[in-house]
Amino acid sequence: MMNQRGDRSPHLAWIDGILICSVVMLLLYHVQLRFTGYAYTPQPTGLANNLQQLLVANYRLPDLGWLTQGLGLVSWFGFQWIDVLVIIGGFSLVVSLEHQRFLPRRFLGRSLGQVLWPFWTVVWLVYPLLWAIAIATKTYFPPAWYLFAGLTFPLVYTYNSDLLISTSANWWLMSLILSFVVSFPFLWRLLHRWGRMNLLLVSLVVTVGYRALAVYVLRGHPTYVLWDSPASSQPFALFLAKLSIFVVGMVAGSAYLQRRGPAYWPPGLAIAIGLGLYGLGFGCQFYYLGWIVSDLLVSAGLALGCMGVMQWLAQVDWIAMGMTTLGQYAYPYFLLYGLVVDRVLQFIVQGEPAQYLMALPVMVVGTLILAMVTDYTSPLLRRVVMGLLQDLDYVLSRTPKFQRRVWKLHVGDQVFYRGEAGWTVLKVEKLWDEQEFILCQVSDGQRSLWAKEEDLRPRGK
Amino acid sequence: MVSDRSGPRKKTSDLEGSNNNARFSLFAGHKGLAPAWKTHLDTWRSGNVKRWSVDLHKLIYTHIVMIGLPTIFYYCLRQGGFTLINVHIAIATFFLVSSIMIIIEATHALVRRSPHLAQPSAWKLLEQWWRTWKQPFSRRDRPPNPPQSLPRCSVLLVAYLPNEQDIILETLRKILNTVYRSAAGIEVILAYNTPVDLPIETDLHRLAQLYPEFKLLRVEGSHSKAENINAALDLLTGEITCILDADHHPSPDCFVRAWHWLERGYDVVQGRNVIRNHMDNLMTQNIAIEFESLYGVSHPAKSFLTDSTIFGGSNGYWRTAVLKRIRFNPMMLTEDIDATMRTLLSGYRIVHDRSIIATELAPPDFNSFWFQRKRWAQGWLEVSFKYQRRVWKSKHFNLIQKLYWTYLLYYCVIYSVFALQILPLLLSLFLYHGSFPPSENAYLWGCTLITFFSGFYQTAVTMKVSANRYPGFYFLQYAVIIFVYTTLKNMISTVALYDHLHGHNQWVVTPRGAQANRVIQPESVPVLASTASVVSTK
Repeated sequence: MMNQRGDRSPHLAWIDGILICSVVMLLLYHVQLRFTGYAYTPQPTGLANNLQQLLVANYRLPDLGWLTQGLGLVSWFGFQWIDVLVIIGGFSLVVSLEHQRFLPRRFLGRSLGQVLWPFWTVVWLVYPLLWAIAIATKTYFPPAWYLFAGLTFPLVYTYNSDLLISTSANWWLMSLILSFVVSFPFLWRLLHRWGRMNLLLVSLVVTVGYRALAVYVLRGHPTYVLWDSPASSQPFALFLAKLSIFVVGMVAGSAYLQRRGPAYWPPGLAIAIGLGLYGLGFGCQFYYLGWIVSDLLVSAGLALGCMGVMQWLAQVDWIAMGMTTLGQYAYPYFLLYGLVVDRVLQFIVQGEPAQYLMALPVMVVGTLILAMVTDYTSPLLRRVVMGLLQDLDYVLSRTPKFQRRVWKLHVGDQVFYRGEAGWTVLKVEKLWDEQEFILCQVSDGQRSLWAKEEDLRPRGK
Repeated sequence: MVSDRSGPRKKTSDLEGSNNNARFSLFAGHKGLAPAWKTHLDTWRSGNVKRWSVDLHKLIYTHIVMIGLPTIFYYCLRQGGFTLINVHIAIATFFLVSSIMIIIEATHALVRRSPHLAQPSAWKLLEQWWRTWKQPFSRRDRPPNPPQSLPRCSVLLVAYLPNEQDIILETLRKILNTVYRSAAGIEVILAYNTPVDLPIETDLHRLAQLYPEFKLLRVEGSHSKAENINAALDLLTGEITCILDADHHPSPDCFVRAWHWLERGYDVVQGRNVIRNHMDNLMTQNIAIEFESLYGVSHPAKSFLTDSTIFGGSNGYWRTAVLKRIRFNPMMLTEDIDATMRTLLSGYRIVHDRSIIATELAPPDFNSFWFQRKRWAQGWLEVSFKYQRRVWKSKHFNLIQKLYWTYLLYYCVIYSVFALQILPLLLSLFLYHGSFPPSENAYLWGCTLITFFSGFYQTAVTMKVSANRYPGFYFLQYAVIIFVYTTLKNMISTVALYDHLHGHNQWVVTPRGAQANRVIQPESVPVLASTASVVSTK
């Protein structure tokens, strides 16, 4: 779910394809559910009963033929793509660490930044607009306390994300995302300590055990099932309910780095196995007992099948390029779609079937455009804020920070440049800036660049 | 309106008249390129062409964010019954502050600051101001008498030869034949870089044989002006060093005038740059007046008011010892402004003297103008983020200087963003009413009038103090289009802000004449604090 494009190799375009496909399906699910007033959610009443309800619910959608009916049927189960995102999240995090030494602190700093800065960008850009829209239309605008919670997230943090949901319903997932980022270093350690299969087995035991507890003791339900239970869907929002799904992604990613695992299966095989698992999981979701394992089977099946399809499509260069291009906007797309859908349904569609059909592509493309704007804006915001904080720190600090030189640089020295070996000093330039400071021209044989002395380290130290 | 920050320049080409000096007749054929390397150069050129339209998507994005979204925002608020008068007043106040600064600067620019009045009293200033005012349309004072004490002088000419090979000989001729020499002598060093051997180098070597004071330094592996200058510093033997770009023609008395300041304790003297090719087209005409306004009005006034100014990259006269200590940072986009800041933060003093004139060439087309101004804007951003905080804390800056440098650094960054907000505000008004209803707010009218007046007043003062007698319509058209021109520069600044915050800092060498723009990619991630300059050597 996080934006890993900086670390993504070109042959992983299919991951971007799955990401963008997932968030679009989530949008379609959200819009359909809201438009029909939650006409259908899977119930633990058996397969036949659910199919009957499904057909009835589908009649509430505007009918333009088999295409819209088919899309409508698929969209009722759009929530399943959240689990696909969880699998891809585990896979991507592992793959992003290829050829890198894992430093938990650096990982957490980078990953939390990748999660939080786009979120803050959306919040800081969107709240003023939402406020203006609410003023113009005299409609609902979240109370100040909820705004404060969003603007300062995760300062005012509740795991069930009540404070965020009042702005956008799908932001409940922020807790889950943060959980996996924070627990990743621990899981990574276990992955290497226990091995892939052991970790997978243990995580399966934990998840299945917890889900059984959630269904039979905690009395929760896994989706928007309108079930009168004290815990509602909350037990299933806890990361324990999705732990093994995330670990499946990690294990697949770890295998991928060793050129093994599902990512190297032929697309046909992946699709066939994926369909089998999905079919099993699909049936399970209509039974109490099935709730315990349905998410596992559905997510694994959907991810596998989707991977096969996307890998097959990515063989075409321009499609692969399209996937890579669009995939980078998946996370801001996820953050934005709820806001867009709610406003479009409220102010444009207003319950009209014809308007709904016309607004669907507008919502899909409009959210993408806003996601692009967010993606462009996020680094700007980050750097401005960080710059201002640095200014503040400098002005308020009582002792100026001067670098103390610990070694002498000479032309021909072999050095590390920002931790990277293989650089040689070509030129040393001494400049004055209240004190002497040194710049070095260094080369790795391919490039030459000017670097500050603090970015260099002598080889062997 | 505030964009009076001028950075360094990679200059444009303009082949001027033929050479009348017999000593240069042997180079008459240098413009005919030898076929072998011409093919090479053409290939090199054609592979690196870059047009301003490559930034179009950034322009669209920045204006969606800075104009489109705010327009929707303001429109919604108007729909909800807000008049937004307070927002309008806030933005108008921004314009008002800038306009007042312009009026103050323009008024003080009427006073010519003399080296003999380095620390003038209020009465003497008033007297000086009155005398200046009484000299209608006087442009330059009498050339000073050459002091007996003028020490040995060095001219450090910097060139990127493929780009500037057509004009370098003329510049050298001008310097070697016209600049006044003290008894201690003069030296001229050409520090240049080129990726390929050029026939002009043979001509330059022969010139060096003819003029013993002329030294030639090809800087191998250099990719920037800063590297060229640094490489030449060890060769300098003069006590004063004048740094010039390849298209700069200094006035003969430049060292004499500069020495008057240096011997009174200043460390750097910045001269006035005047556009030579102003007659080319509408753009060069405007740039000529803009430069007159910058170097004739803004910079001298700020120097006068705060006893602090910038080194603009060329036509600057340094104590060589200070220059050798400060040196230039090849990691910075505007290495001259970076050097300025380090110089001032280290306690040295810079002064602006508009009587020290050098002529230069303006960009010949919009493409060159776009990239030149974007690089300046981005370079200023880089310097702003790097040094603003240190200015606030420095013991070498007094309160006025701190305010002045905040105005030049952070205020200008903010201004380019906030000034644009007047557009969405007016657009939303138009969308809401279907027209522009007349305002009855006296403050807004006052701000508008003062803003417009400041532009005309600045132009009028520029006309009075200009170095050249330009046709009157240059000033008239400048005064008319100054707001469009300023808006264009603000647009470029926003794209530069985008590039800077995204860590994109390629720069394009401003071409001379028909040469294509060449892309230089010097740094990897230079945001907020500079990091590394990367140049592929493949």
